[in-house]
Amino acid sequence: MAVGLTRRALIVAGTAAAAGAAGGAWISFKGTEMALLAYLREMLPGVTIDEASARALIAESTEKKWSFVEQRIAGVAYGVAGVDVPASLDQRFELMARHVLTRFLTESNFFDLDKPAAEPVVCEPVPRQVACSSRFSDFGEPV
Amino acid sequence: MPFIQTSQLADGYDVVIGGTGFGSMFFLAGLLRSRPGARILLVEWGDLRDHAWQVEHQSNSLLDDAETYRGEAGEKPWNYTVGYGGGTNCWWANTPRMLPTDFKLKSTYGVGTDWPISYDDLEPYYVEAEEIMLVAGPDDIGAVYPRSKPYPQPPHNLTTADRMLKASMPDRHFALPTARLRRPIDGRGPCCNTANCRFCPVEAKFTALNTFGPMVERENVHVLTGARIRSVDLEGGTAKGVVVTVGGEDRRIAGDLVAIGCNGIHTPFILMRSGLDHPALGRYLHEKHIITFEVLLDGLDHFDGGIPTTGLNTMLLDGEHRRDTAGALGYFMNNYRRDGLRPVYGRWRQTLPLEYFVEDLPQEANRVLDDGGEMPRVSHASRSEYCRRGVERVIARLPDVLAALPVEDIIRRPDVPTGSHVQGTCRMGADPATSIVDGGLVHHQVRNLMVLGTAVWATCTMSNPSLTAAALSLRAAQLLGNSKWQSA
Repeated sequence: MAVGLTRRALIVAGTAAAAGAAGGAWISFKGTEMALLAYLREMLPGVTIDEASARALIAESTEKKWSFVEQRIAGVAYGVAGVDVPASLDQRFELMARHVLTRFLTESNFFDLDKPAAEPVVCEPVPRQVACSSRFSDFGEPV
Repeated sequence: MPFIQTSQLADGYDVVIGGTGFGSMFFLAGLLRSRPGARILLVEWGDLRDHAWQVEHQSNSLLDDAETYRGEAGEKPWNYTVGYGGGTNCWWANTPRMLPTDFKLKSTYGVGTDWPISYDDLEPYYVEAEEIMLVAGPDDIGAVYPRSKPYPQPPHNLTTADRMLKASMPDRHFALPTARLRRPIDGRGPCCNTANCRFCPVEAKFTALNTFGPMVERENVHVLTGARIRSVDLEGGTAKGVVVTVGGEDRRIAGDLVAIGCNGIHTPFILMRSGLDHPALGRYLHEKHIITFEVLLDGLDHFDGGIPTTGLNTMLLDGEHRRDTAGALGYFMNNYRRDGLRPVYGRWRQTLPLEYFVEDLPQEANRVLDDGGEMPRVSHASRSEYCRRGVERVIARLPDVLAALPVEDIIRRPDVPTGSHVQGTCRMGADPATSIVDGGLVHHQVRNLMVLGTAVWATCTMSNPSLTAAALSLRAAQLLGNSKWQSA
C-alpha cells in the first residue's frame, strides 16, 4: 500500500533530506519533519493542521521511537527516492509514518469534530502511561 | 519479612527456588498449599520494581536482558525480564492452553516427540492456574481445549470482525482467553485496552506482584533479590543448595530441594556450570515463529473490541497436516497502534492487524552453550523446514480463514523477531537418555533438583506458554507433596 506524495512535496522534502545526509542529526531531523508534515497534509486533504502541535508530535515520536538511521530513512526515502523507492524501504517508511498519522488522529480533536476542515485539528500527545487511551473500544456487556 | 539481606539468610532452607517468574511463583504457590510451613528461599537476579515504578519508567527492570546472553551475529533475539516477577511483568497475558495433541505429537503425527504427561494429567492444574490468574475466557472454547470448569471471568468483547467470523465458524473462532480482568476485583481495574500491557496502568493483567504478595509475606518465605545463581551445589549426585553471587561475593546457600526457574537460557547455563552434562542439556532451544499480516477491509470498521487481542482462530491449528507442516494459531488484534490506522481518508478503521503463531520443530543444533564466558552463549541458526512449510500454509489458507469478512487485500507485515517464549533447553521426557527432567519436572539423575518454566518444553506448540508453565509447576508441587520428600 504505497502512499504517494505530490511531486512538489517530494521536491521540498527531498531538498531538506539531501541536506540532512550531508549535515548531521539536526538537519536530518528537519528533513524527517518536513517529510512527515508533507505526509500528514497528503493524508488529510482540506484539514487545517495545527502545525505547532504536529511538529511537537513528530519530534516526540521520532525522538522516542526512531533511531538516527530510521530518521535518515524516513527523510531520505520519501524525500529523495520518492514514490519509486524499493518496496522494503517503502513499507518501513509507511509504517513509521502511519504511526505518526495515527497518533495525530487519535490524540487530537480530529474524531470529535463534525467537519475537521472547518477548524484547526490540534494534537495533544497522550503519554503511554495514560490508561484507557484507545479510541474505539467497546467495553459494554458482551453481545 | 519476605525480602531479606544476605545477613538475614537462614542456615538452610527446605526449598531454594531460583527465579521468580511463572514457573517459580506457581511452584511456590503449590508448595505452600501442600506444605505451608516449609522454609523457602526465592533467589532473584534482578531487583524488585513495584508496579508504580514500572509504569512511571515504562520499564520492567533496570537489568537489560540483552546484556545477559551473547547471541550470534545476525541471529534472532530473545527476550525476557530479569527482575522480581520475571515474565509475569512483561507478558501480554494471553492464556490459551496447549492442545491435547501437543502432548503427543510423535504418537499422533509421527514428528517431534511426546511429552511424558497428557493433557488430562494437566487439565486440573490448568483450571487452578486460570483461577489464580482470574482468566477471562469463553467456555465454548472447550470444543478445542477440553475444560472441566468454567473460566473464572467472562470473556472480553469481540470486535465486529470477530463476531462475523464467530458466526461463520463457531467451533473455530473464539474470544481470546486472557489473564486481563473483565470484572474489577480487589483494587484492580478491568482491561480498558490501553494496549501497553507490559506496563498495564490499571493492573488489569495478572502479575506476581499484584497476586502473590501475601504469599511471600509469610515468615517462612524469604526473597533474596540482586542475587545471581551461579550453580547448583552438587555432592554425590544430590543437590545441597546453590552458589550465588550477591553484593559482589559468592555465597553458598543450603537447601534440601533446589528448583531452578531462571528461563530457557540461564537455567541450562546454571546446570552446565554445576557440572551436569547431558546430550540434550542446552539443546533444542526454540520458540514459535510469529508472522503478521494487515488485512484491509472493505467498508467494515475495526478496533471496536474490548482488549488489544480479541479473537483466537483455530482453523489452521491441528490436523493431519501436522505430519509434515506446522500448525498455526491465529490472533486477531484490536490494537491500532501496531500498524497504525489505515491511511485513507474516511477509512481509517478499515484495517485488521493479524498475527499467526507457527510452531517450530525444535532443532538439536539450536542451543545454549557455556564457553567459559560470564554470560551464556546462544546459537540459533535457523528454524525447521516444518515451520517454514507452516508459514507457507498460513499464507495460502488465510483467504479461507477470512472468507466471512469483506477483505480487500492481505498484506504480509514484518515478522516478530521474538515472542519472548524461550523454550526447550532442559526438555522433559520419559527417557533419561534424551531428556533432562521427567513429567514432574524432577531431574532424571539428581532427584532433588527440579527445573521450572518453559525450559522444559519438549515440543514447541502454538500457544503462549505462560499458562502451561504455571500449570506444570502447580502439578509438580502437588506430586512433590505426595512423594517421599518429607524434609519440610
